[in-house]
Amino acid sequence: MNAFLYVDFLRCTACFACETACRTAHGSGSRIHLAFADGLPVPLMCRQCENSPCAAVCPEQALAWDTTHGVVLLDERCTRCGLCAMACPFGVLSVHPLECPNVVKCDLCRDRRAEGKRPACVLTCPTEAITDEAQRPLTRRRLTGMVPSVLASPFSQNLSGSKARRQRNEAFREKDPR
Amino acid sequence: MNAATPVRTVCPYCAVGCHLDLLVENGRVAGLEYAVDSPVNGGRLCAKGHAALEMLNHPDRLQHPLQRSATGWVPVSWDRALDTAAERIGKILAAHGPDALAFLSTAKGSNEENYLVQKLARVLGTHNVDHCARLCHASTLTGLAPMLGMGAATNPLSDLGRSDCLFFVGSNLAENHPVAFRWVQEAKDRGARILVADPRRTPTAWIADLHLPLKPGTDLALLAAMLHVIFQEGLCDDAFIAQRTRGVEALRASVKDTDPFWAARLTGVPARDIVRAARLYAKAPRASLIYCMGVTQHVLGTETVRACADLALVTGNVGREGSGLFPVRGQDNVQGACDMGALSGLLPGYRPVSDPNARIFFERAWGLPAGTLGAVPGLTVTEMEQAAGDRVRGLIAIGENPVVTSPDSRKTQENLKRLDFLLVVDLFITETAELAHLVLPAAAWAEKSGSRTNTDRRVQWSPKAVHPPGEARPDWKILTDLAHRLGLGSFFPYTCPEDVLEEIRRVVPAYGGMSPRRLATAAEGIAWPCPEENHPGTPVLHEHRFATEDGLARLYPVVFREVPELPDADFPYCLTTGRVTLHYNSGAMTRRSPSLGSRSPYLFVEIHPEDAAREGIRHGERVRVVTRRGTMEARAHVTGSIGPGVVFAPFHFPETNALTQNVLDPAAKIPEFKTAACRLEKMRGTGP
Amino acid sequence: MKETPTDRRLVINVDQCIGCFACAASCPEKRIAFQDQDGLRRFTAPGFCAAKCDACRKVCPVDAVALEPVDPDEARPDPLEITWVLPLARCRRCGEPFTTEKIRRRLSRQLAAALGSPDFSFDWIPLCPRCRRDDEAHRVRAATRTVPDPLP
Repeated sequence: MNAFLYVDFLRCTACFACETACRTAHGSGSRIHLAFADGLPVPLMCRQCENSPCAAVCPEQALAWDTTHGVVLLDERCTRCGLCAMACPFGVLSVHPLECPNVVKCDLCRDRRAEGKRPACVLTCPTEAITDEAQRPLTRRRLTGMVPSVLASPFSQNLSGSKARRQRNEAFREKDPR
Repeated sequence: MNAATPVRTVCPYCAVGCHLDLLVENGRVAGLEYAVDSPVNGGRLCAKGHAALEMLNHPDRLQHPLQRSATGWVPVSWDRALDTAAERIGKILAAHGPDALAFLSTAKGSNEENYLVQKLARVLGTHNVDHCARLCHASTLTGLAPMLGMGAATNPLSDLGRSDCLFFVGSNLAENHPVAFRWVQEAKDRGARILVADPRRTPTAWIADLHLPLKPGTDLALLAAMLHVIFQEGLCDDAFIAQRTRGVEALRASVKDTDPFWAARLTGVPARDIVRAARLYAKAPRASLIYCMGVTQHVLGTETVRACADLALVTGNVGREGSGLFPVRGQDNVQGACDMGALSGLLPGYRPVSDPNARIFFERAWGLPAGTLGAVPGLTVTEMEQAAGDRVRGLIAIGENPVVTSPDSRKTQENLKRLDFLLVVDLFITETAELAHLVLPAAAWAEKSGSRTNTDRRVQWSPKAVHPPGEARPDWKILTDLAHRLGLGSFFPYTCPEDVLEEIRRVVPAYGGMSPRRLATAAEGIAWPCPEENHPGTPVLHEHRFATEDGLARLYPVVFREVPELPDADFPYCLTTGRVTLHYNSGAMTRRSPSLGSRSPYLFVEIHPEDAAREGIRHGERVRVVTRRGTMEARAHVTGSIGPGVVFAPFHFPETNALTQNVLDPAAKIPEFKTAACRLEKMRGTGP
Repeated sequence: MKETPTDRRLVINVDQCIGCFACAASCPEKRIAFQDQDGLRRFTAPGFCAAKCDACRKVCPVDAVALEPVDPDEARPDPLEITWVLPLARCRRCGEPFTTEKIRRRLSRQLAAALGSPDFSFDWIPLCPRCRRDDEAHRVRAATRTVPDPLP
């Protein structure tokens, strides 16, 4: 189990099942957001950055990263000030204390995982576009020579965004010839 | 440890027939879990599947029988309601005879329920029983059945994943059968070519290798041209044609002159792309043709279906794994409703009412005196809507919403108001129920057990998970009770849906082996035909023999004609209607759904940027769309995913069908939903 | 009206306040409220609080909340309700207000200090979350290198 979700957005058909499943699983706002680029969908959720802006601005150190769980909210420390939500470069974290008591951020369905179940969006996606296994998006596209983009965060790998970007690109430069 | 018991049910929305496990706690559905081990969907569930739960405890759910009175709806007891219904039906029978009654069965009901609706109608003495397949795949029944012997999908949806070329004609599988689309993605990853013929660049077309954005209603021209290329370049499967079909010479002659340039002028698709599509489809080792409303919902629907089947047959793409013809059904049980004969011209098992042997068989099976069943087909849905208040005095509408779904719907609404008796059985006060004299509260899918048949011909049992709210009852019980009140109790000796299924097995040979016990334990249902108890079912049809009398498939010539109403000076655009992923058919369920309705709450119309600029319409503005039948207001979505000259509106809102035309395919009686001439009007006061 | 000895006067240092949600979210009786309207975030709070808790004061990230004891013999002073206002920052792309100007400036400073490096740009800070998502969607799609699979 990797500490973030992979999205093969070329498989996404903008059906909104992921947003619906996420809301159902958590009983509050969806932690996954269908964004659009020229009418084409890209599902986005917390990237579980190793060195995240949200953690950097939290006045209570209520956001911490670990390998298994990604960026974890330490609820007892959180004051719902909302600064983290404004610091997220991808706009995938939200805090609206008057409407919802929870901080709406993907936690990789921690409660479900504790019961041995996989994240709701992973299971529900009709076209298997979201996965929690690293291999699927890569092997899947090898045959057609198309390279998917992985949603690893540029805030991974300890401060160096370019290092993360280089690693990400190299991983996908390899593809099997047809 | 979960205290809730998971109950595996079949989703009530579309014909993919996904499983979802309902978590039942203290007699209520507390949530759902993904049916990860189901071979049907592997746990996958689209947004509508999730939203299905919202129907179960919805505050608008009908809980008591309601009678119309001068002061509004009055709740009455079931006894009183059933007595009233029997009395009103009896009056109409006495005064006008049984053909003054009409029954609209429901494609959301179970096989058992559909069987009972048509039985009730026929025992009462009329073949006026039909359902919404008339509006969607009636042309598949009239077009495909004579060609292959059966008008149903030839392969399971999973076979799409084993295909080398997938040709979509008028099908937006990605949006409307989302879970089935993963097979298409699998095929693409294996290198399959995806061809999509659709006026819009739909999500299905996003992964197309070739998108053929033809003008609505010109599919016949496209298919004729493709056949022309295939014959001319010798790409047909001569051995298959010789051994397994007849009629190729007439077909070949009919497409002698329908060359790609001719088709390019009519369709707007470049000739080169038509040629490429034909070559890709014909040369693929295993090719599948998937078609849906873009093909069927036309005056020429029957003929367009035939052209699709011609294409599949001459290239030998029927009857093998990975090669098939897929009329993709819509409703969760529209396939079953057809199988059960809830159709005005067909008895259960697709036996025509005009066949004397079929009539004798059912008269004997049901204990009716010889000669009771008429030889003339009854009224179809579209004909019932036209005849309501006139020849038809009483209409029993079960889980159907003709005020929203019928073409030229304002006329239908006026007609329904003139009925002596309108009985509606439904979950909510729908637009149609508003006009009823008596409304009976129905149980929803998870509140009753029964079998339903998906588009793979797969019959699945869905058990009762919770009780219906209030006094709502399952359709099978309502029908049985009504039959008893009408003095027909001896024909309806059923105490549970399983009883009905046992009778179905005896009279519908394709369902012969579908015992309740077998269905309840079959992880992915059983695909018909399944004539005996130990028959495994038939996922792939026509492998050795077609279901025609001589075992050969029949090819039909292709003759192109224009759609009935072309754009002109007054109405310069073509209005085409269709579906969106977050809504379902008449919207009776989805528009009430908090999770779906909130994301897609309003009626919109897609307009090409050039057309929008010409009309001075901006994205997000309210505009008026006008046809010869009516006017509607919608929000403009200016998008390049539709071609110039064409506008698209979803039909999930009551306004849309006020604009469509009630012109029918003469054989199938399916309306020309997909084209209408319209104009756009910028509304005053909506900005510069 | 006799005040109880636990009455405290709520005093907000409006210069310090950055306009976050902490105090409003912390009040167990939901007596601190805010509303975003016409480009301003307007807070309202009771002028006095008889409760025993110190939540609003403790959670404020910039120590802008003070609870001063009130002399029980003092005549009931005003104000019974206090309000303060902060200007909202508008999204540079769509123009929708999405946070206060002060929060936006604070974020720029903090992130530059904590994560600053030549590899990062923070040009997303003046964008609202929705535009940040759409921008990321564009970036992600553009970053996909696809090898075209030409048709024969």
